[in-house]
Amino acid sequence: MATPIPTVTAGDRPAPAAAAPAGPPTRRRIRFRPGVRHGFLLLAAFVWLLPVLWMVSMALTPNDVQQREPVGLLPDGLTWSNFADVFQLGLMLRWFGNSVVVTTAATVLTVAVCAMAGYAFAKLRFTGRRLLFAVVIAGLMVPREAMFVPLFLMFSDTGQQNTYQALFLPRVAFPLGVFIMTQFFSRVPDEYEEAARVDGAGPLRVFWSIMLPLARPAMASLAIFTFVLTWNDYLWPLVIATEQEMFTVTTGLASLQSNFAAATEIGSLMARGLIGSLPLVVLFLLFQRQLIRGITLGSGEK
Amino acid sequence: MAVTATTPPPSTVLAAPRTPRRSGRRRGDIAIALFFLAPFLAVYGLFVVWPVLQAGRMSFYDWDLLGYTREFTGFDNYRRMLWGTSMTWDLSHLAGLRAVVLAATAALVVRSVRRRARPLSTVGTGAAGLLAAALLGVHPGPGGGWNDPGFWTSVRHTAEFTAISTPILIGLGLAMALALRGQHRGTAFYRAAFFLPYVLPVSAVTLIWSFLLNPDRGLVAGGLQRLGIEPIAWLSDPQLAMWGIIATTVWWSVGLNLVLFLAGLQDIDPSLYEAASLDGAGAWHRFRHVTVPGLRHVTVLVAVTQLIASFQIFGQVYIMTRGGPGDATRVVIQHIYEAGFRNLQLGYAAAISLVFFLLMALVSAIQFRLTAREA
Amino acid sequence: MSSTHRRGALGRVLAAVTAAGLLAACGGNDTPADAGGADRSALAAVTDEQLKGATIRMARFFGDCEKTTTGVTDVAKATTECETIQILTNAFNAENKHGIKVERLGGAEWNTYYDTLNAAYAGGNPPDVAVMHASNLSDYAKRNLLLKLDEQLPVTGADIGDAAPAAKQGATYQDGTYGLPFDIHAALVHVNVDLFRKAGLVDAQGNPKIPTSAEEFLADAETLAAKTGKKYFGTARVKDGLGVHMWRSLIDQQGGSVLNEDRTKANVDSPEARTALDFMGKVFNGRYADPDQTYDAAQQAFLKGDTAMLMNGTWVVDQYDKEAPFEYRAADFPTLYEKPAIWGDSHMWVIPRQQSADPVKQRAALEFSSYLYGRSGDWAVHTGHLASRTSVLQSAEYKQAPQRANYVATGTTNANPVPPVSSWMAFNEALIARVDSIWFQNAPVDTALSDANRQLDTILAK
Repeated sequence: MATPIPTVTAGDRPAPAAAAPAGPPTRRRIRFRPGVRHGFLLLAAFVWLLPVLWMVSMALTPNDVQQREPVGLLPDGLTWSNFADVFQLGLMLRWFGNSVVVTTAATVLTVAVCAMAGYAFAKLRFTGRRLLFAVVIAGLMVPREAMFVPLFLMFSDTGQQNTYQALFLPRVAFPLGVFIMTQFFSRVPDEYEEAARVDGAGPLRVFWSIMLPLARPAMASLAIFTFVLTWNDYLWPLVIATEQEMFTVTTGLASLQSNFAAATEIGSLMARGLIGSLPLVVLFLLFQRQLIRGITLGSGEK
Repeated sequence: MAVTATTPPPSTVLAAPRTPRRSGRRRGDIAIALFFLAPFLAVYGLFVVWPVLQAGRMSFYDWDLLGYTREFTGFDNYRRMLWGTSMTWDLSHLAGLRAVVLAATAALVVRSVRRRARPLSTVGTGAAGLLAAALLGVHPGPGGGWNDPGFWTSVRHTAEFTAISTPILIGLGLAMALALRGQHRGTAFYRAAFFLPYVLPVSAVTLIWSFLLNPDRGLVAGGLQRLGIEPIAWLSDPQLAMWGIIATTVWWSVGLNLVLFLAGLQDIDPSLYEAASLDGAGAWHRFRHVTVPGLRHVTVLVAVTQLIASFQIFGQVYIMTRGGPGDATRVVIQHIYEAGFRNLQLGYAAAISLVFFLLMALVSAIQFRLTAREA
Repeated sequence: MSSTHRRGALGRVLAAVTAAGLLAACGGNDTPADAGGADRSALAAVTDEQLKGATIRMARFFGDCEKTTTGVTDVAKATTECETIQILTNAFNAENKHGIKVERLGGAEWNTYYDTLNAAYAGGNPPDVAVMHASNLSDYAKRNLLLKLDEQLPVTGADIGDAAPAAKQGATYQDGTYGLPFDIHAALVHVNVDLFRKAGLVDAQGNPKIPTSAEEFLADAETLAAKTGKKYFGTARVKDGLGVHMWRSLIDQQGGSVLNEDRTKANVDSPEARTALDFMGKVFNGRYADPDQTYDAAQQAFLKGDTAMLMNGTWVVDQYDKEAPFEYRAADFPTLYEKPAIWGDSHMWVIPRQQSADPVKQRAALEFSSYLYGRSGDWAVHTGHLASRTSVLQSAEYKQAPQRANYVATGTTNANPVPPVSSWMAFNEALIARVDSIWFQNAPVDTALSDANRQLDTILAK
């Protein structure tokens, strides 16, 4: 999988309002008329999304039509039966449920655990803090994808193959998440905490009532990010959840891409792919700003 | 998925101003700190630290998946992975690659000297580079062969994939960001359109692209036919299969780089552009002297995260070609998976994982040094 | 003081984690040597009461075909492997007098089947009954992972003596029977008679002329290409083992083998091997045959009429018989050298040993496998596979099934079961990888074959 995980901004950085301004008239700048620019970009976006549009077209065409002739961008004989199949046949619904359970659990736990650790590293003083933090950061170097063999042994030896906890627990150890939350909390001025302490609040109270609400944007970004990553996880669910009932949407969809299904049930296959991706797309469209804010650079201070 | 740190380095993150404290808080603080840290440390220890240690341990065993054997075999697994019969060393083997390594080492050493870094680190860098170049000359002589040719094939393909796809992903991401920059109407829409593939699961992406590239049914084949070209069986052709995978990966992930570059572009101080244009600099000059330096941070970040992610590629290859045709697209993670689950040799799989981890750690460490210098 | 306190705490946490980890690793997964065993009396002692409503989990490949088989129990409606096995399972669930229910476990794909089975074993939770290839039996029997059936078969009355010799041999490991054979399957050639006719490659009765030597093969290929413009031959070489099966069969036909005499060392770099490679290079030159086809592509090309002769298995005979838009004939794979030989394998039903034996489940699994063994005639008739039972092979119903008369020789003499080597799975994988590297990565033949020998020797030595 060649999708990198980028860094995350700590906190709510306002997008710089003054981006490249319209330059002074003396500047020789190649500028396209807005219409041309829009037209070009629109075409580019359309071409870019062509594969997805084609997928929709295939999902809307009946299976037997496609056995004889491939279908183009426009569906050939509109039908909803492929989508109906998704919910009636096969285990797609079950896979969907599994993905929801695993991803939600991973997201909630990751955010909680990383927020707590981040607060501790940023705001609490204790000896060995730097050393421990360095150890945590060193964990970023561990290639998660490659370490599945010992992890597999650990879960299978304790009889936890094909369980939900096996699917989401390893995901919760997310050093980058701790890094993000630490970065965020370290930018929260100490005055907040001092004020609360003066009022007699203990550290737990401070964390719960003051820090967490402040951290909501960062936590939201981390949550969305973790959600996407966990939903799309392929290798680990493949290894640890071998019973068909415990597949996630991602591994389940992959299991259907065999020689035979390809030849006879393309429409249903495409419909499953679309339905399986739908939650992420919806999430993305709704929370676009949070997700993108979450992955923009935190290193604005050069 | 690959994760890596980025700037600023840990020390600056933790450098918050000290405030006066009443004594006697210290003991409470430690308990509180433990409370907050315990959940993370527990999962971290269990699922990040321990697997590495266990992989190290397992790599010295002939460890059968189904419990048939578990005997200590010392370095056998490493010998099998990395060695062969009739091994020799010569100067000309992989000459091109070694020249590149030497050049890179030279560049790093020069840079290190220019920045007046500690002599130890300069010497260290130089020595490491020379060692790497020397080691690359080891190879099986005539009449011999690697003990596990599949391993070296998978390393080669992983390296090829990374070397080809990384510049494309960076270059294309940058180009798209440049095209989209500015607060025009609809920027958010276009950005969303190009970013959309990134949120799709890998199996949906492979589904789409397997069919796109299918010579009998695909859009690509249809398009080519209209141009009068014979349909190409991308994923069955050993020369082209890797390009099919690269195309799939680029479509899938370039949106992320686009977003990162866009943010980086926004961070460039606009007054720099004004100053440059007042000095009479044309568009190209402004690009070279304002944009590129301004994006250096982001570029390094994108490059290294891309590198690390590409090395760990698995899903696209496994679903689309299973490493085929033949061995043409086999990658390292797949080799680990098959060694463990198909050939039942967990010890060997663990050994490969460990070597892979060390390699990734090395790359990450290099990144740390490079970006720490930048900060 | 606080610093040592902190470091101490950290140290203790790390120590605890490491200790837990090491302990977990030490526990490991013990080979269920006797834990999963069962003696005959235990299985025979299981009462009908206990069996009532027992549920067992079955693992199989053969694909997914829920849409066409839900609720169907009449095997006459089956047209493919998937439908046949699913309908037979449905029938068992509906009809068996004990009320045993069989659930299908796991994905139904071929190429991930054994990975999944291995993972299930590793997790201590293998299925109760599973299908297995004869070529893979030795890996599992050697590790004592399967129930030995000799003592148990009389409980259900399954007549193992009726099994065809090749099938029985496939289910045997070191003189023990570990599976109930379901079929024998081998590679055939599927012929587009119309194309052969068009090229004039037919005899007086209009039967397609199958070549009897390598030279004749190439000559016929040229004739067909010239007269019809289509490909003479085709098989799946990409992402499939059929190409390498063909190569191995050609070696066997010359009287050679990929193993040496006592099967302790590989013998891949032999004159027979090179002859076979050479021949295949001449065939898959793009004019006589397409060198880069996947299974799907090869099948499509044949059914569309672009390939005159397709090498594929017995499992598609019924399917092609129904679907081919031209006159279709199945035939024995051509004997191009001294003796007839073709790759063959067989399916059987095995009962994995569990970590803690449950005689009820084992008995239920035995009932199910015996039922399937009893109905293996239906399986053979509806799928094209060769029956695993002599009585079926000789029955009128079988002989009258479509095309069966045309490949009798395959079942009786030609099919070469896989050599009884205990690491055949790994051996075959490595062999396929090396040969594929010659075909698809331009590896020089000499290096590839000597590499192969070396790699295979290591595997055999284990």
